[in-house]
Amino acid sequence: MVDLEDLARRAERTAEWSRVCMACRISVPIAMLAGATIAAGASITACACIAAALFVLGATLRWRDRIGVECVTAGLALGAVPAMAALLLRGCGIECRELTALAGGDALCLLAGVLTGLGVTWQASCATEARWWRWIAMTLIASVTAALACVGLGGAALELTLLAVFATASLALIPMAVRTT
Amino acid sequence: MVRFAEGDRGAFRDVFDALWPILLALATRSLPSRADAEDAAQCAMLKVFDRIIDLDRSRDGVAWAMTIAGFEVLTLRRQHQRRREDGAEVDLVDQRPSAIEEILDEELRASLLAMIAETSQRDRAALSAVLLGAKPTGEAARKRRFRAIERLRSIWRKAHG
Repeated sequence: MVDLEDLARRAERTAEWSRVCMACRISVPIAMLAGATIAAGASITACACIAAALFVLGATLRWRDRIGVECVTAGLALGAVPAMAALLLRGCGIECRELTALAGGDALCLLAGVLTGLGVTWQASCATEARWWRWIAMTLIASVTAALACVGLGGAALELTLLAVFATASLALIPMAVRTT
Repeated sequence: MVRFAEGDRGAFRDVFDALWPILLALATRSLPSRADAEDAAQCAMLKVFDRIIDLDRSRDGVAWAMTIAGFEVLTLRRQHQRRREDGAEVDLVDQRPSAIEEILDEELRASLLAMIAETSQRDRAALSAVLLGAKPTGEAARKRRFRAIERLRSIWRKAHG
């Protein structure tokens, strides 16, 4: 005779463990991005801290529900735009340590941040459910992903990119909010 | 199932209670023994919950779970079949000795008994106890057995080299 209570406990534990394993698979792209940033000459401590924060945030969202999984995937893809720009600049030997004048590097970071912010709001507005929750989750993931790569460029690039992401995503929210109401 | 797959933990009990009778019925129909059917259904349930996050929302969840249960039933059947085949191999290995081996055994036994008959009365009694597997009752009996075996060995060497 099967002990159904015991089987239910085992099944629940199996399902939860499976969710945790799936959530932790996010460590692979994060580790690759962190490795590329460190290889480009960024501070190991700063990269490790931001990568750890991104992992915790991403894994928690992915473990939570399917919307979290979708948000993390989209957020990482959108955050990869400023990340690639930062790695490209770093590869060319450009650094943006002080925000005195908008040089070529700063402008590229700003443009990448704007594109990411627009992409986040566009993705959230295309969803049929939980638009606001998606917007918040995607903005957070994309920002931290961008920060991970921009940390090697210097403080100015980091600030500029994050500002561009948040400002553009927030401004683009207005038409989305109008459309929703 | 879709609700649970999407992250609604509260739907677990509903999914479990709905799926168990379906999977058990499928396994019971497909396997001859009730115990095997329960084993297969339990394995299927655990596999369903292990992979439920991969459930495709556009497809029928119950059909998907039944497919997993079907695979479990097939696996169990294959295991049983393999066990039966292994058993047949063991039977082939454990065959009775051939006629030649039996003749040789008989000859050796007859030769041994003839040599035991050549020994003294006391040695014959001691060797009979050894052949019957009886344990020696004391130190004297053990020494008597040892000496009887040594004498039998010397007789065997004289006869067969």
